[in-house]
Amino acid sequence: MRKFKLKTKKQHQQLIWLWWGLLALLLVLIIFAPVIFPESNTIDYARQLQKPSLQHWFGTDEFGRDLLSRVFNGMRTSLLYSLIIEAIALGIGLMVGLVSGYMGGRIDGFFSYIMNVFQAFPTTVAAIALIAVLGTSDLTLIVVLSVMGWVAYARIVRSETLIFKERDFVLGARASGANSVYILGKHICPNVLLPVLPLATLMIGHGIMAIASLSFLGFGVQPPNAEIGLMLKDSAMFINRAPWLLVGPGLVLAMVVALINALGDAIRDKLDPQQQMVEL
Amino acid sequence: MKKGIRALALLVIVAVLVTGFTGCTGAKADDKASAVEQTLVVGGAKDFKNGSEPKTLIFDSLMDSLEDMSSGPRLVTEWQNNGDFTEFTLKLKEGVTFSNGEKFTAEVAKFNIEYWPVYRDCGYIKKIKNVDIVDDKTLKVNFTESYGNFIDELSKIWVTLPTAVDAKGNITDWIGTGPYVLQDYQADMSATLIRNETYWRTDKMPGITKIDYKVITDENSRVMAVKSGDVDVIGLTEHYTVLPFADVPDLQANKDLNVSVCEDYGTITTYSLNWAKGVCSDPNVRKAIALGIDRDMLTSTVLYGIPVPTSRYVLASYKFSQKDEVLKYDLTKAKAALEVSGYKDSDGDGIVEKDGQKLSLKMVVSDSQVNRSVGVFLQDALKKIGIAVDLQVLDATTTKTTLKAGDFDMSTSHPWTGTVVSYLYWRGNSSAYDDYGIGYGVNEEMNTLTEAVSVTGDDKVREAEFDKIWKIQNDSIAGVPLYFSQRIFVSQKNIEGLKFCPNTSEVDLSDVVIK
Repeated sequence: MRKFKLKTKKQHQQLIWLWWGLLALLLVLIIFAPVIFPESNTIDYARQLQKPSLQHWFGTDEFGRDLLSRVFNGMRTSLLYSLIIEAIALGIGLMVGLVSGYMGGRIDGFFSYIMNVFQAFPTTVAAIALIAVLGTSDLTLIVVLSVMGWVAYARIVRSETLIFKERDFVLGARASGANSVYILGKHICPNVLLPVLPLATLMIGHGIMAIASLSFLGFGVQPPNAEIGLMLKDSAMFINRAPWLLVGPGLVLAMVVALINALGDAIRDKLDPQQQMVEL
Repeated sequence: MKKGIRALALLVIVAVLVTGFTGCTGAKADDKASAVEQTLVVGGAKDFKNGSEPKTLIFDSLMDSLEDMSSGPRLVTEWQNNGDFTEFTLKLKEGVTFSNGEKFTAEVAKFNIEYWPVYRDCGYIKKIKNVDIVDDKTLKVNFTESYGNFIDELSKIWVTLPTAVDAKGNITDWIGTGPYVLQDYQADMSATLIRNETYWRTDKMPGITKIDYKVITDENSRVMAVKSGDVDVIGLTEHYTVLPFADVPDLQANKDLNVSVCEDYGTITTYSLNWAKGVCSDPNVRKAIALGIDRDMLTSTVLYGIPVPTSRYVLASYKFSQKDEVLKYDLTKAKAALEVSGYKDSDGDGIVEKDGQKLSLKMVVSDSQVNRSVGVFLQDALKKIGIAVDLQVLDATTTKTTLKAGDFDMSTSHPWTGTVVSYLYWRGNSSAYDDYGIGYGVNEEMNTLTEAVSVTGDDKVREAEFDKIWKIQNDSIAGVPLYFSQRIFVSQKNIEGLKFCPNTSEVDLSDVVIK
């Protein structure tokens, strides 16, 4: 029994290293895509719709553009936008959650009501409606997804703030005359950020998927820029003639999102005190 | 380690499956066999009541529109005019009834002649004096001034009952004299039509007894629907191409389907240039754009060799068409046109500039596979002559709003269609922004010429005036014609007798049989 447990733990470790190795490789390819794959928008009709080959690993699209280059450049756009979106959403959610949880009373009631209203709308549908009003652009895409994404952070921060504001060190700080801004900034904020970290990681994957979905529907990144959702949309037409056009973008999208989610889970496990107690 | 490899393999399989399903939107349907005999299932791009063509299954026009866009008899069987085209006598078809049993009379015809022109862009409304009922089957129409185009414009009047319309040009009761009767209608979803057993054109009595019209707005879904057998035909109820050209070779290779490409009728895809403001208000920039597009390359690459490249505004087979193709691809002349206006690439980045401003234009296109592909092609083509293009692919509603506000430099547009004289009254002589960009009324002379071609009934005079109109259009370049986009039917193999009607806005099922 004991032997089995040890073997399982070793395998687990190896699996984790495999995941991280793959994620690191993908991240390097994505981040340095403009350097590694500089010709993602180069049109060459002579190589239209070519099958995957040693020269073009994922094949070429209807404009003869190398699909591998476009996939990683597109993923770079998605990842960058997703990071910006989550940073903005986290900022809004953190502020609202802290104020709502700490102040309580009518202010808490007001913000809770706002959060309920935002959560009542399906994100994609609401995003489409807002983009239709504001107009399609990369900036609109970022603003809209940020505006729709802050509630998840605000809810966690609020519940954590409700716990921490009753702790002795906060009560002590309040008794010593510290004002609310100081207490929130110095004592509560650093503590509530920790549980938010796994969520933020998971939400990066969600953000990438949301950007791809909106681009697929025609509300996201504009051609000729590379973006996975847009590439899948354009490739759908060639499902019979050139099915490989769908495989490359879909594969990389699924792998990146899955690996980012795995990273989020790993962070959550690492930060979970109960999990640590079980391990002890 | 094995588990890790298994997990990785699982991830790859899931990714491939997810990817594969992305493109599969239609279900294999084998329940078509249960369809009622001689029931035609039509996949339409628009709501039944919003398209131009579906209504032709229910209503008849006063005149027929012929292959060259001239007119032939229909509900109006004979006509005569005086020497200066100020008085017309119309003889109406006898024994015609609406599907509810009411008779088609001179009173009904008079109402339709007076009511519809304002909603159907018929220029005669501006000059009509009165419509007199001579007897139950004869009308006399008087004009304040000559109006030679009157008879041709009657082909745009689809006859309704006077009690079946509201005050804003909407049909409230879909009862007509046409070959079918509307039995059921669900907005944006479907319509069911049954054959009008009392249809007056016995030679045109259709064999199809029932039509199930299904609205399928997405182009890929339409193609999947006909491939899976969910619908019998697509492309029947639209006067434009309703499927991506890239799909045509696949569909042609499908042994279960018939693909008919119409080589004679269709539309010429034309992009609008905002000649009234912005960078395209410079005629040399417009000229550079028109000359800088290699239409042969466009059609042979991203349009898969299906459409025919052209720089004409209207089909050569139409009356009063241009005699020559003028705006042909010439890279040197295109670059020279920009230099004449003072544009030069002084910093070597490939984009020309003037007074420190890069030449960049905003291109707005309505979202479809073909428009996206053409948009990217044009962006690349214009870059070669030093023009940067900010391509914006928008949904149909946003596109219309943007174009109507004049917030574009170049855009997808509505081609010159129908009778060219009628088009002049709609967009050809308009200088206003509309759902399709901006009209072609670039100067005052267009007004004079529009007036001239509509008052005369002499085709030789019209032809001479149209030569002047085309010269103005070729010189001023308010729009850029790109290619002749054929109508394409895709139908099941057992459907026979589908044909392209010379009047691009009419559906003729008189010879159709389901085998």
